[in-house]
Amino acid sequence: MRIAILEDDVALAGLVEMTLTEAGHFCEVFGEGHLLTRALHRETYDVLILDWNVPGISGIGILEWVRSNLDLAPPALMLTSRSAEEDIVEGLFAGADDYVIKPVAPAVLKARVNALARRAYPAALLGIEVFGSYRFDTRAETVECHGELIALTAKEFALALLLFRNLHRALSRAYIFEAVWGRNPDLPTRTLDVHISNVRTKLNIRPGNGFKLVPIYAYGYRLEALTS
Amino acid sequence: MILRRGLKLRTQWWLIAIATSLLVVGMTMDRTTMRIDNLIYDHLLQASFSASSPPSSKPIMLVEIDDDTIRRLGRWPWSRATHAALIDRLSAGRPKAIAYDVLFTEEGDPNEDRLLGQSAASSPIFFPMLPAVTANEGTAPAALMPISPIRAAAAGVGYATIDPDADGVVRSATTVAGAQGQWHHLMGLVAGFAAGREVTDARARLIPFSGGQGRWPEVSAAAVLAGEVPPELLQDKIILVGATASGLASRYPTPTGSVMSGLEIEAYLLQGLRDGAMIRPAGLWPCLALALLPLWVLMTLLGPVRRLPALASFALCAALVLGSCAAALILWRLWLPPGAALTGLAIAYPLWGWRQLAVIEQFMRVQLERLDHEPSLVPQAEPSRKERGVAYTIRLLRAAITRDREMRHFLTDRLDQLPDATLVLDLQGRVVIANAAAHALFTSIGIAIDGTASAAALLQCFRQTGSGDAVPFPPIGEDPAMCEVQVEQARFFLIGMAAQTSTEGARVGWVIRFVDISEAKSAQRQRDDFVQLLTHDMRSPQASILAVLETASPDRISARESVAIRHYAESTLRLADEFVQLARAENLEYALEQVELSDMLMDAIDDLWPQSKAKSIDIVTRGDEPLLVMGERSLLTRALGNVIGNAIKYSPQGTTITCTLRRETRRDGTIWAYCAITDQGPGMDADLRMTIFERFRRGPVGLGPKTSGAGLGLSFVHTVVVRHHGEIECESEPGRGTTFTFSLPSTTECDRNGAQVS
Repeated sequence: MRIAILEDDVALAGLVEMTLTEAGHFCEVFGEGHLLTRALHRETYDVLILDWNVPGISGIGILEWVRSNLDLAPPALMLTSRSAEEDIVEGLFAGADDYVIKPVAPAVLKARVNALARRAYPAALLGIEVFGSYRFDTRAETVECHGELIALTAKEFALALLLFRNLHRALSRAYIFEAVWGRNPDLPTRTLDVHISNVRTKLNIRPGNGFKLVPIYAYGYRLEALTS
Repeated sequence: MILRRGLKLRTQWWLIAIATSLLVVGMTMDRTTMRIDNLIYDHLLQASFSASSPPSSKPIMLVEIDDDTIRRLGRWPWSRATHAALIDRLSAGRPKAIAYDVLFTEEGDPNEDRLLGQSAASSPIFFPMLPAVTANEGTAPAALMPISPIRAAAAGVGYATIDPDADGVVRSATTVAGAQGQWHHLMGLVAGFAAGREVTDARARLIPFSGGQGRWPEVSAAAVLAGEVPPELLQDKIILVGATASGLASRYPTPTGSVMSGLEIEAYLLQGLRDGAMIRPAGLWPCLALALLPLWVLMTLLGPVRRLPALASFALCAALVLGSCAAALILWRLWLPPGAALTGLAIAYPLWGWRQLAVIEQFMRVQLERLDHEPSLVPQAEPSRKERGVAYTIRLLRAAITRDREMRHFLTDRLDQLPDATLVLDLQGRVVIANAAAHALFTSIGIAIDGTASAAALLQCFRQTGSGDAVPFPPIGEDPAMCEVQVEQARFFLIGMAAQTSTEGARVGWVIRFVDISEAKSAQRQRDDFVQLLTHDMRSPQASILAVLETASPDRISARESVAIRHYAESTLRLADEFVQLARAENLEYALEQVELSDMLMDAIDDLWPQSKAKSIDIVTRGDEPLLVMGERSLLTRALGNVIGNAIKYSPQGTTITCTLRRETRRDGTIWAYCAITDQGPGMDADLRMTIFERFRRGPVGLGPKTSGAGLGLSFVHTVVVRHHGEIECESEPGRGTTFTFSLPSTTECDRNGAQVS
């Protein structure tokens, strides 16, 4: 894939470039915001990795520019030192598909970028889907863990599948609601938390099983696969 | 109080109206105001004849036995032959009628009497008589008639008496006299003869004087006798013959203002009777109506129906009286005496005014006395001793005014002493009071607050922070309205506007206060900058250091040094993180939501999985009761994580950390959620336990295993829990492990049922 990296710190840009090139992607690094927008005029990129505070146009500015200037906006990942929860929310609502705080482990970065790509360019998947020790049968709507069948309600199954299919991707509460319950569900907001809690308990989604469910401040949830 | 005053005034109104009415009725009945009535009558009469053209005087002619005649013919009384000669001379001119106003009641020389009778028969001639003369003491009065030859020849006999009023002025004449009304006035007979019909109306007896003295054509009797008057001058005339010579006849004052001889007065009477222009005095009922109606109109206008100023009402009613009186006299020849009516008005008007004043004075005194005894903000003189009289009321009023003045002074003084700029505005937004700080503030901006300053103009120089909008006045929304504004570059104010109401609750104006928050804003900005510095500017180089270590080839940086550098960079990052989180916990406006305590505990444990796994520490959760709390999820999760992280940090390898969740209802009925985190670590002594929630306090190095951390973690925990109205306790003894217990107020409503919605 062609990946554009907006990063003014040479050392960090080098690490990101090295990591993603090792993973088989083609990378291009931009030190200033307007250089990236100029490139976006003539080039197509599959994924954008944006730092927030850069000279010229900021990462947030790039997201806005992309949304209003490109017909088909590529998925974008914010990679920044701004760690406050408010900043994460702002970045996600500005249009970023994911948000990663520096410093980042190379493996995590690789996983996040792959998740973005998988979502944006999905391969046809049918029937049996396997995620680590979990085995989903989408036709029978059953799920097995370590070969053991786990009883889930229809909504719980849909929610679990949605989380696993969007591994490493931050899902907003509205998105999950719409995907599982359809448009304008007249449900108490606690419903989602209760279902999440049930899925997590029943499937035992804990770091011990290789997965970790992360709540995102005022936004939603993200399921992460642990690398080690 | 108002009711009583109203009642009192109403009673007084009725009293005044009724008393004045009775007085007016009395005055009308016994004609007390006759002198006023006569005065008005005389003036109205003069005004009416000077305004209208006088009727023709041609048909009447006076033949006067004047001073000249006496001088030429000799002494009075004349012989009857002379009278006969005069009558002959007059008859020769063929007049329409002759009224010969000379009494011939005593028998004289029979020849001369006969001669006079013959002469009198030659034309229609009227002679006077005396209707009631007492001949002798003790006999009944009887009419004294002219001598028989005259009576036989005369066309008519009537009396010719003139009756002046009590003030000596001749206004009226009695047209019919006698017990049976058998006698008529001489002029009535003449007028009836001339008009060819009965003209006498006993009721119409006021003489319509339509001119002054000398209006009638007059000739001297001597001139007639001497033949100096051409006979055609006398043709078809009504001739009045009478004495006017001084000494022979009286002269009378008349309403016209001039003094006239009886002959002239009779001429006016004749004309009035002949033209039917006699004036009739009104009867009792019209007089009463005229007197009472305007009085009640005035009382109504002064009392219940207040449409006009009092003086205008009075003038209107007086004009009504005089106008109707004049109109009746001129248009209908009817005399309505206005005196009683005017007197009634003149009494009622001041009386009512006086009573009103008295009631007001009393009301004012009571109110002022009450005010005098009310506690005052300003020091005041001793209350005055209670007395009566106007001087006392004036003293009270003066005290009240002084007090008001002091009050205003007190108010402006206190306002001036306020540290914040304050404006007091009226409803239209005009500045009523501006304190010293306000003057200073607006002078520094370059605007002077003068008498015409309005809030809209003054607020124009401010812009709301953020939006840059103007400040709306009057404020929209809740009261008091607050907004933050900016003026010039770095001056910030908090504007508070509050509506002011009177003691009755009606809105009377506004108060605007300007609080200078420039310093607070500057401090806030510095703190924001500082947090920004830590969250990004300080983190970035650390992230870069880690990136360099990651990309550098192992032969350039040795693995041992790389680990050390990584450790310090990560420590710096953690310090920055902890500081940012603490600042966030302290300053963030919490958006509370219902959240399950066990969910947050699970999140916190999952976050620490790498650390716990590295030390082979087992984290056990006990109690799965749903515990809903109102909280900020990210902060509470982090607080739990900090405590569990500490437990992992200070616990030896392979131990167990127990998290116990439970619910408890306290004595006051509130439900609390508890989460106790117990480790098997080294524990703390009492001194350390007392201070662990302070900043930069951490476990002693060397006591336990090597640990890392900045020492802000528990401060964060404490801040978050306190801001959630919860509590955190620490139980620990050296060698026995440590237990941290979170307690948070729990919401009673548990909708675990939401899970069944599918």
